Amino acid sequence: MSRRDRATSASAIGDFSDPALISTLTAWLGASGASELEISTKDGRALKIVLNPGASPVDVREAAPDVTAPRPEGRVLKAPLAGVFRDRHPGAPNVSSLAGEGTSLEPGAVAGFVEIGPILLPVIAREAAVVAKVHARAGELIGYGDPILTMEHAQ
Amino acid sequence: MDASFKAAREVGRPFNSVLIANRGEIAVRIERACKELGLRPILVASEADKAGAATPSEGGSLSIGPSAPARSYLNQAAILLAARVTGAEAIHPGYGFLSENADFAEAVERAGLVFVGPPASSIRTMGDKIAAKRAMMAAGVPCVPGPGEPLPEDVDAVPAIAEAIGYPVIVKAAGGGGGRGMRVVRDSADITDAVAITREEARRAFGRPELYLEKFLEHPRHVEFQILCDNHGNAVWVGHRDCSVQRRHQKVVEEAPAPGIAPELAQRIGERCAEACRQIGYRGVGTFEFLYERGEFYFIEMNTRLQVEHPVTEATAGVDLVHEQLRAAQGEVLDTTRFCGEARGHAFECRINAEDPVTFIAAPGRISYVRFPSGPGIRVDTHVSAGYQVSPYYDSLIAKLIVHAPTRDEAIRRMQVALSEARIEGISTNLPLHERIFADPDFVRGCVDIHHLEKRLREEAGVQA
Repeated sequence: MSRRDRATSASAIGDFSDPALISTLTAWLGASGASELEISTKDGRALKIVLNPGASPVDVREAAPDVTAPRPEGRVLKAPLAGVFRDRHPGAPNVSSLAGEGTSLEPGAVAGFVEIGPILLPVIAREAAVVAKVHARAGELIGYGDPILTMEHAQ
Repeated sequence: MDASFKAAREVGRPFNSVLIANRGEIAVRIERACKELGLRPILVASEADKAGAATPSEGGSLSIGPSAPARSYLNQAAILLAARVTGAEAIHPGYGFLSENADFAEAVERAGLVFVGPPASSIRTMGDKIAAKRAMMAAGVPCVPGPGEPLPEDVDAVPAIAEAIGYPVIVKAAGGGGGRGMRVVRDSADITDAVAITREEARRAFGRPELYLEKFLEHPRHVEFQILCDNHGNAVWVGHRDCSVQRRHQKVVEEAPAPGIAPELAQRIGERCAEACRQIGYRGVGTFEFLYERGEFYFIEMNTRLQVEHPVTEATAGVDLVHEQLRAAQGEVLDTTRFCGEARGHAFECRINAEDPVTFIAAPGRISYVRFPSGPGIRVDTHVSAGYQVSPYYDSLIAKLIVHAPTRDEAIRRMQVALSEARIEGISTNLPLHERIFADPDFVRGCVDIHHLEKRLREEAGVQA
């Protein structure tokens, strides 16, 4: 499954559609492992940029903090960057939460999203696991490295 | 870019929220100024700063990246996205990090946000030492003797240029700074080798090989002028500072006003600096740094940002420079009649660093106890408290102690008492060094040059050996 960053809206303060700004953002997101970026422009067109053709999904834990701090037991998925946590795709508000407590996730499953304006970053489970605890609330502003989910190995 | 947006950028634009793209004492300083002006401050932090805070509420509101500065405070995309997600309308860069990065200033404006600082074009011009010198010469600002253009590639042509200036000369990298990429040459026999070596160093360290040549001054003082500008062509100088007490090109103690400068001369230089700002379309606060020797000023560089030592000017000029920065960024018109350049009283600032007071090696660790002095004429700008973890990732500055008094002698006495009252335990600091500086008869007399502190430290080391 490719990692996909999707533009969802334009803001009153900057629509991130300036070519130079897109260049800055894609360079950084590409370096962090994102493979695609879609940006919606004000006139409704969609711009799709392939960042890393053939790149494998990013293990969110690889972007985990480099500071030792108390952590919950189990495997913790952490926010790859600051944004608003979404427990389901903003374009599908009526579906149920992707990773409620007790949910079994397959490798590569999307467990939620971090939304930053027009950019949507999926939070991906790398291994088969059961969601033991959900730390981030839907709609909550979370920072880089903040815990989103604690997962335990599927029995 | 549509015309209305371009026009708004040129005159500034009101905003209600400011993301502070920095850390430490300056983030606290800017946060306070925002609150005083009714603006919503938005603090960001790296993981190290978030984890090192004495209490969770002191750790910044939003973590933007790992501890390494390149992945947090220097990460332009992370900061722009944090601004987006928090609804910030402006970004204040503080000092250091991205504060003098023209590309970042442009990216902020392109994202539809206000950059609290000068236009990218001004940052770019003044960041290039040769372009800056040319701009200053055009504005009539006195510069260090030497051609305002790069040295020719042909190294054989350099000796004649050096002879015309007169030895000793200093070879400098156009893209250098902070004491890096420069070499003093005292004899014509050494000039070609010095140019070749410095050019190679510049190519490696700064990615560009351009060099320039200037007269080397033997015993200068470092004196700088604070300038304030709006976006409507108004510019004024608000005071000067002496920052000659340095170690390895890093300022340790600053004072305002610079002692022993004739008021008429200060007025003439300050007005030239203001005129240079008008000519380059500058906005906000800026500092012109000079070497001062035998009654003459020689421009060395302009800092297109707030300075660490800005509080000594605030104390003696009766101005809040961060307020003025924010107002200029919002397009307000500067009332230049409030400023006359004349100082009220005298102020000193001690930079308190977490470092060994003898070896000057950084000393990160957890602060177990802290007590800063207080009372009339005393100001402490800091972000630390008991329990704070000083990180090894960043500059070791943990506090600035500023005193203000009617006269220089009274300000010295006030600082001596304040230093004796300061207590920081759990880590090493340079407080003992500051006590020695304020007990040094030459410093107390005033007008020491930029080599004085290092000379004194060498003497002390010799005595101890």
